Amino acid sequence: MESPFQHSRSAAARRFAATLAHLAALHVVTSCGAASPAPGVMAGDNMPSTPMPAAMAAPSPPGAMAPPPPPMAAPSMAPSSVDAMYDAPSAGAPAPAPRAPGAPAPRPAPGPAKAPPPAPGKAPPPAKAAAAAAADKAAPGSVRPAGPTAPLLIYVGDLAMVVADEVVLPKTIDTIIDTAESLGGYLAGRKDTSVQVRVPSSRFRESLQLLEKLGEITHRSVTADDVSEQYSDLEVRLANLKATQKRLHEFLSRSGTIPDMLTVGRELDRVSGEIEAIEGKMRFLRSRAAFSVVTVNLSVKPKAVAVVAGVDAPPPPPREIALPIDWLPRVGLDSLLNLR
Amino acid sequence: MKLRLPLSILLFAASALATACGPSVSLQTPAGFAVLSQQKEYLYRAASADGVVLAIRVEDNKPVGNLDFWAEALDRQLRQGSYRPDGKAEDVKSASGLPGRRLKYTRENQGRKYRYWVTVFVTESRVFCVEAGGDEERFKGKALESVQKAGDSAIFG
Repeated sequence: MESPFQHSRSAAARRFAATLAHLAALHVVTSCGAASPAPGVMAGDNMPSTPMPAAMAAPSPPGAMAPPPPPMAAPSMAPSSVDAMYDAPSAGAPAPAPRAPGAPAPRPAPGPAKAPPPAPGKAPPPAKAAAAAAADKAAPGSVRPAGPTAPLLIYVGDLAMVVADEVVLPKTIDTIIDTAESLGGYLAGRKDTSVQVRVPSSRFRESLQLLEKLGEITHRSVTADDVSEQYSDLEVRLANLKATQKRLHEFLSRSGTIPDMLTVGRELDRVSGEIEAIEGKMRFLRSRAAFSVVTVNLSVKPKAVAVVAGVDAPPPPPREIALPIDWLPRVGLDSLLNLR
Repeated sequence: MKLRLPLSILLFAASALATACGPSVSLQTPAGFAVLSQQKEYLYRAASADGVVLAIRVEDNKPVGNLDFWAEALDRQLRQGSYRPDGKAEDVKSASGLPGRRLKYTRENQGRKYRYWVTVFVTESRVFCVEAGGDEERFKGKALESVQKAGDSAIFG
């Protein structure tokens, strides 16, 4: 039976031991250059008074002091932050993307909210701020985050444009690029008679309206690819992997033997790799949804050729008739010289 | 009873019968030509040893046409068959005074050039075509003159 004094003294000792362990762990992490292993900050009644490497620390008993948060290996886009970006776009976020015929109201493109337009030919910068915020908001242990309420749509527009002549064609392509850049887009590809630009999805319709003024449109198509389900699946997988990663960190901190530490470390590497891959896929989908693709194929209007029948063209030869004279075709050298 | 008729009457009757049965023609065969017998297509055909051929075709004047019609019909037919005119058509007369028209052509066959003449005479019931032809190198000079003389000497009946 402990006295209150003894209890407070014991608690103070535990806090002191935990601090020492945390500092020791930080030292180990810094000196080894490792980014992943979480410091063991478990302390118990039988905790040694001297700092020890976190990996060698004893497992924490239930009810022990919560350890400081482990350092994250890499920032990641958490589902919650993505949802926040969808549901409550910031003031600088793009307006909602054009609505496809028959489709529900699309959410604003989940691209970088205030990111400046990327340079021509370069991909838009990843949403680092959003990713960092997502990492902070990653709910530990959450298996299925709240899914997006609006579809995540990727818009693709194709235009076939006819221009007056070949001289105008390259100028028109330049104008198309300028138009895209003025809307915050960028050049994605260019050929002799076609150009592909990417424009913010929020200005997709506006871009089409502007581009259609540059020439005679002979073909127009807009498609919206709904990747909401794919994105949602990635979110779920990401949340699960992060939860697994967190548990592995905790387990690593409690592992007492070197073989266990190695095993857990390998598993942690695998999970981290999967997390990075999924985050890459999600970044790609967000980028595709944030910037719509507009492809313009240009052609030169064929020159009209005035054809007036019967004016310049020579008249056809007079129609020949076959006289009903059977011997007439036999007149000639073929019969004459055939003596047999 | 023994019937005796003068020989002159018999010859006249035979001649009249022959005239009534079919066309006849007589001409001087050119020197160096041999008359070919058993001709189906032609009433008369003679050939030289080097390949120049002279022949006379006789057809019914059906549909009934005059010299201009038949000359035009022959000309168009030959032109369609890759015959090229070799000079203008010539109006000629047979030895019996029948008007005719001579059409001259050339034609290439397997890199060789051939000459072809056709002279058409028209009666009320018959169309006579005096045809002559051969390799251009052979159908020239004396051969050409002799063939022309033979055609002019023709008598059509």
